[in-house]
Amino acid sequence: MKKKLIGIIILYTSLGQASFEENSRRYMSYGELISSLTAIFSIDETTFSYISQDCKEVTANNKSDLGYNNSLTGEAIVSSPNSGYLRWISNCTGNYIASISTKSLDTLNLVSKTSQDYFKSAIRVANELNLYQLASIRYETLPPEIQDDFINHTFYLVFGPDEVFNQFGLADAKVFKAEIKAHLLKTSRSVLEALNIVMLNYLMRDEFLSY
Amino acid sequence: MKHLIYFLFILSSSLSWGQTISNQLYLTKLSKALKGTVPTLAERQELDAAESAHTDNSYLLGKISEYTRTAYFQFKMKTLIDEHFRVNASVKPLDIPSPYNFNYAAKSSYDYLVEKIIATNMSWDSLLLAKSYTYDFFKYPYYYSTDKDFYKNILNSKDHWDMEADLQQAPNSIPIILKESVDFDPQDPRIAGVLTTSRFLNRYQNTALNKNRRRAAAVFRSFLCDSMVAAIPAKTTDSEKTDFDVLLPASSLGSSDASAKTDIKTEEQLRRELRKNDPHGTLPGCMACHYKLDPLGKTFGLSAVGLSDKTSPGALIYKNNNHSVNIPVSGVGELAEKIVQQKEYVDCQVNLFWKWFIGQDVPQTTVRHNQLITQFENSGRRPIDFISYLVQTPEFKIRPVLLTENQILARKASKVLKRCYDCHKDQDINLQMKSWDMTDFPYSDKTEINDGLLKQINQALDLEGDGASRRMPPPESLWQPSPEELTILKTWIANGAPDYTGKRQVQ
Repeated sequence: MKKKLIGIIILYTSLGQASFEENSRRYMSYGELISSLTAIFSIDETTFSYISQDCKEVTANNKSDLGYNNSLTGEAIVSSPNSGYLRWISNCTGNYIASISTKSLDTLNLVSKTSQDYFKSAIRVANELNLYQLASIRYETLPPEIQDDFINHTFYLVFGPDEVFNQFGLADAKVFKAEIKAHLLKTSRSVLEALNIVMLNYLMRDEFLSY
Repeated sequence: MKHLIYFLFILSSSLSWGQTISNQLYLTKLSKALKGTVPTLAERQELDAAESAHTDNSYLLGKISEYTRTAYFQFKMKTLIDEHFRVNASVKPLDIPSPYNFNYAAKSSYDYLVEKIIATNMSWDSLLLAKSYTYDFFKYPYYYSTDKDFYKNILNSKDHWDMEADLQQAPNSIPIILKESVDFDPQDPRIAGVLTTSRFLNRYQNTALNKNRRRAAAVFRSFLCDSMVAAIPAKTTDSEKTDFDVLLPASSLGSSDASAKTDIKTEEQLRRELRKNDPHGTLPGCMACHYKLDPLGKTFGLSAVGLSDKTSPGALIYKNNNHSVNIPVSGVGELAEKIVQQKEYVDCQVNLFWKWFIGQDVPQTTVRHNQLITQFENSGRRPIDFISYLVQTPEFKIRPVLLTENQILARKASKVLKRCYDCHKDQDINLQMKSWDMTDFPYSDKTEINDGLLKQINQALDLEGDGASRRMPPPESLWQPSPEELTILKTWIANGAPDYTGKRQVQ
């Protein structure tokens, strides 16, 4: 986990980020961050209870990580997402994915129709196939188009089309996705692990965090 | 090669800064700004289809209308308003089901009022003028009322709650949460929206020393954008200590230590004692805030744990850019009515929405500000109408802009100078500035005037000596600039005191 996290941080920092004070962008607030996660991961009543308290509401543990407002001063505890947010989102991405891992692929936004069809056909399992079962499939063994689809679909889910990402002016979507793919292929890992890494890299970006 | 592509990408981005954004980015901004979530896959696809059918404008307009009526929007607005009043904001986003009833937090009259204003798009003035309240209270497993006791003093006797009788009738094992409403006469002078809620009054507690000035300061800050820095610390980090302990450790009023008792028995005695060692309250500088805090604080005079059934007269007094306001009021209800009639109130609330939906550091020209005020008035001061207008403005639709080093420096310097201006704003100063506002860069079109003003700041803060011999702020001020803040100002002036666009005010 530690090794994986370091790898992610290196990938993350190499793409260049700017802090809140260095831009006129507004970061999403603590409540919005959580609402966005529940929307992206399609959290519903059944999966909600599996998510840890620190990932679904503001608690004493995550207040400063999420930029909670200090009611004494009227200002956010931290002015921009920092290493605390990185720790929080690392933990919570895994937590959210784990909470939805038993759901049928058909009900998941996280996997595109193309990939769903591929996985079902490859394993010859019908609707029962879920993310948990994807843990047995290695990302590098997927056909290249499914590898790309996996990255493109999740990217679209978080950022929208490439043009949205590009207009922030921080990085080029194509270069970014190519870097993510290269990073995933460096080491053998399951589709579930790959999903974790991909989502984590997206959810740390300014293009997600700000507007 | 990869770096070359990235360089070319950044170059092409930099050449097109400030351009209008694409529809998909606009949808993203709308969704995040109004709902606080990313758009759904379906919405993105619908927008693509609308673009093909040339109905994208009406689709996006429909989204603004839809988003501003969602529970997400209400939650977001509630959070922003909570933060504005500096009450602890809600911690649970809406629309997330809670499996346990015990997680339900009883809502106070403040919560219901703010939610109602947003949900029903009531006039923004209702924050001050509303006369109706709803609140929750638990009957079992324990008696807990957010506001029932708070209002009972001013309700008719027939409305008084017989708690004992109710508790006797309550079942033994079922938690009961009840909702109750109280409606006061629209002309009731004792009632003033959020100001007469327990949450507001408890947040800004009255003490023998502050005499409701904390509440008055909150009113000035929240509704007139006049923030003040307390010269006397209200609390220390040690929660055991009170104002009296801080000011006079040996006071019999403040200390529980019997050996530390003195002969001081009354506040007047304490004040006389304080003046021997602490000049606060006797210096003209202190009156920069007290002349307006004291009369407004009096309107809260009779409100402690519960509301009083009598009004407490006071006055709305302040100065702003040589414009003086001095309005005696019979109580907090009339105070609220007078506040919403002030130009400074409208300016402040328009700027508040601007900060929330466009960005605090996005400058407004005077012409633009006046347009916004007209729009705010034309929309009946209804928040959803005004927000819907704001998110359709060119300022909202502009793509994210990377700031230059000088632009960042101007924003950082502005934050520090705001602290100075908070105390100096009421001074009658004619420094040939375009406006008496230390954060309104550039100060003047004339370099020599800017140069003179910057020298005054430099000298007052002794920036050359890193603040070692500074005259300002005075020693009794609670705010003392940190070394980092002094460095920011020093660097800002050394760089020619750039304005928000990065243009130097002096060479």
